Amino acid sequence: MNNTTLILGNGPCAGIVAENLLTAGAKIIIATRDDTCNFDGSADTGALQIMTQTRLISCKGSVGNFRIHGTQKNKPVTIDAGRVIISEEDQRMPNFSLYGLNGSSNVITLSQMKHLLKDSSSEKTILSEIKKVVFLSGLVKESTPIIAKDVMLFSLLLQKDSNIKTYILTKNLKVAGDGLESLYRDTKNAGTIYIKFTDVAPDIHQNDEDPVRIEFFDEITSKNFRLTPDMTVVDESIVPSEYASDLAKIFDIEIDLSGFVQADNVHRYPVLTNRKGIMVAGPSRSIRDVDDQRIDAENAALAVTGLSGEETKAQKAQVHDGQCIRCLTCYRLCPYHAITLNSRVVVMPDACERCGICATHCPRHAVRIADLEPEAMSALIGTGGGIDKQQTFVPFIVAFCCRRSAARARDLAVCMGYHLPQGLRIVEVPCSGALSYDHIFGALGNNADGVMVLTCHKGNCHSEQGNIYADQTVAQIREMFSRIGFEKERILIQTLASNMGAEFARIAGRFEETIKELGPSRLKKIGLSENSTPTKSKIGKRK
Amino acid sequence: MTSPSEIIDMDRLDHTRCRTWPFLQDFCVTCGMCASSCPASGIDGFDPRMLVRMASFGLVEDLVDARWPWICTMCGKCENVCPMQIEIPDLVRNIRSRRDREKVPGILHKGLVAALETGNNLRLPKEDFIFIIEDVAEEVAEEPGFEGFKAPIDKKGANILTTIHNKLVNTHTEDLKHWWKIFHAAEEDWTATSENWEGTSWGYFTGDDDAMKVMAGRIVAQMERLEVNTLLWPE
Repeated sequence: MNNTTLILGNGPCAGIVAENLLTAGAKIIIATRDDTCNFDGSADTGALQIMTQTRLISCKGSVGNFRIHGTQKNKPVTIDAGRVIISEEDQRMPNFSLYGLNGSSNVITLSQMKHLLKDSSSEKTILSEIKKVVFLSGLVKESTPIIAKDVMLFSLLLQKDSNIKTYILTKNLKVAGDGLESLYRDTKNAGTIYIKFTDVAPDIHQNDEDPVRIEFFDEITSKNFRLTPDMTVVDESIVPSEYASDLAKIFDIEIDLSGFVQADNVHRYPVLTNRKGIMVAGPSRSIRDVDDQRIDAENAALAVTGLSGEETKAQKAQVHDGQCIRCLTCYRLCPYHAITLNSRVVVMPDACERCGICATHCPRHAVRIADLEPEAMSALIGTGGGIDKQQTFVPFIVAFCCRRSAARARDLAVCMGYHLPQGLRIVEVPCSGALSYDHIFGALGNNADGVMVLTCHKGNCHSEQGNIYADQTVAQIREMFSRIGFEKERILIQTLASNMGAEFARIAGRFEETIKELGPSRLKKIGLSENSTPTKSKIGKRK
Repeated sequence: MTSPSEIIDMDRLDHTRCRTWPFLQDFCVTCGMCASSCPASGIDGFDPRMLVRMASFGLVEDLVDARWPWICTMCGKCENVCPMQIEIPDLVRNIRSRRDREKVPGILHKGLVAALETGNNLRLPKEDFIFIIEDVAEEVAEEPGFEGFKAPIDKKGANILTTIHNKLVNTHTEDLKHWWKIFHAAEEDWTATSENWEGTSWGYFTGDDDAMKVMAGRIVAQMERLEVNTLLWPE
């Protein structure tokens, strides 16, 4: 187990991660693409190694044991690390084209304005010549509080320090951030004029170096206005750096819709990725302001120090060599990249999260997770159902519940005092992706009158696609049942979140009603008593 | 005043023109709560939000020339719901005050001038006023239970002085009787004054603070003259 943490990035966030980890006594390597490293940790302890002009190319291995290849000053280099924290800076793209503008001496970006406002004598004179400045903010594409903050702050400085009249043309002004409403008030107090657009957009005309002409219909006063500012400041979009996108490919990390290096998945917030041991913090994972970055950095440091394998190797997926034909189905489907290829297919136990998707989909039954095997679970379920003292039919219902959602919803239902069906038996699974035909047939073979598969909501699966695989499996079984004349209503799949206790009770109650109407399952073995030992079902057995 | 189709050059507007106005109009977030709460919203294009915004743009002439500041009823609902505490009714009065007095709509200013000159909006002479009051008092005295009723005019040292709305000595004399009957039943020691009895102060509506001061001052003077400490001003 390698205890070194590799930190990628050269911004404040990377710096805070490094600081935190060094304080916690961890060994770190900081790799930056720049010529110098901004982190000036006085590391005489040997705990800190700094690599400049370093770019990564590939990564092998799993948590605790990553082997990373790259270049340092254009020469090949190999880095061994137990964990990786990606905290590369984002980048800002000017929105000129959104407004049909070209950058010029009087049409500049927000970053250029920031530069002008920083005291550097020669450039300060440019500001001394102008009287009116227009900011274009979020008129075509929704802005962010970070950009809105810059727009308001610069406007305030221009009004107060340089006595320049400022106008902010905006759609929704993003003030959902610390101190932004108060900043808005300050700008209003300083005399900034806001013009808010909802349905219409201003006409913006640019002709070489002439002042930009902006004409618009003001929806509130119902009047047409014209503005010809001495300077027009165009807002920017915050996007992940290209290198961050490269890193996502190198580490096989799922990205979000905007290309930031963390898929929108609540199970991974704040700083985890689909790969154990690879964290992402700050501007690499989403649009973050300075405070958010600090919080991220501290979380990443905690995640590193808190990583320990709580499950034993025996509970992880294992490949049984005699049966593996190297079809690579498992390699392709594993959401955690826990399967690697040498001459053989190998599961890296530390990276395996026990979702069971590999085992379910292996056509040769070569990949298995011992306690999730259909037979093992069948034994766990046992048999049930029958007739109660009043001689009425009590349906035996097996509910396969995702550990992260439905199982917790059931706990909540119990807590809240909801009535649950008498014959309901809960089977908790790490992920519904672990469920195969055999699990469901096994339950029916154990006398179940109905089977429910209760999963996380779509797009909210810790294993990304596990619930979708379960959905497909159930759909195929129901289809098959309708063809052979067996009641497909005996199989139900529903999505639930962990806070849906009432819904859990309602779904279970309705399902029990359905099963009562259908009567006992025809697959039930006649004469089985409540306490008899489970029988291995022929249907459930796989060769 | 600008026509709707004309393009106004914002660069030439002086946005600082109204900055000294103490109504916080520059803090408007254009949320529209005022417009949706206003009972007069939409009448002839009236919209309190528009008014606030034009003030913050510095479009003073347009505001002063517009008809809709005069549509406002001064109810104050807008101010009540405004998240930025903008004092919209006061802003409306301020705009009204800036209009040339001859251009104040309706009879408001004419009535006010009459009141300033003669003591009441109707230019009603003192003897006519006394005649009307006594005449109405006689009618009351004819009703059962009010035998001997008299309206005490200019009674020194009375407990209450009440002002009189000009409408009540003009077209709505019946309405005088309700008050008087209550006074009678309550055995209240009350009086009305034969001079400057007018309770209406149209300066409030036209934004004329000086006129309001004169009208209020006259009532105070009557209270002092008649040595009355309590005023009933049923406007």
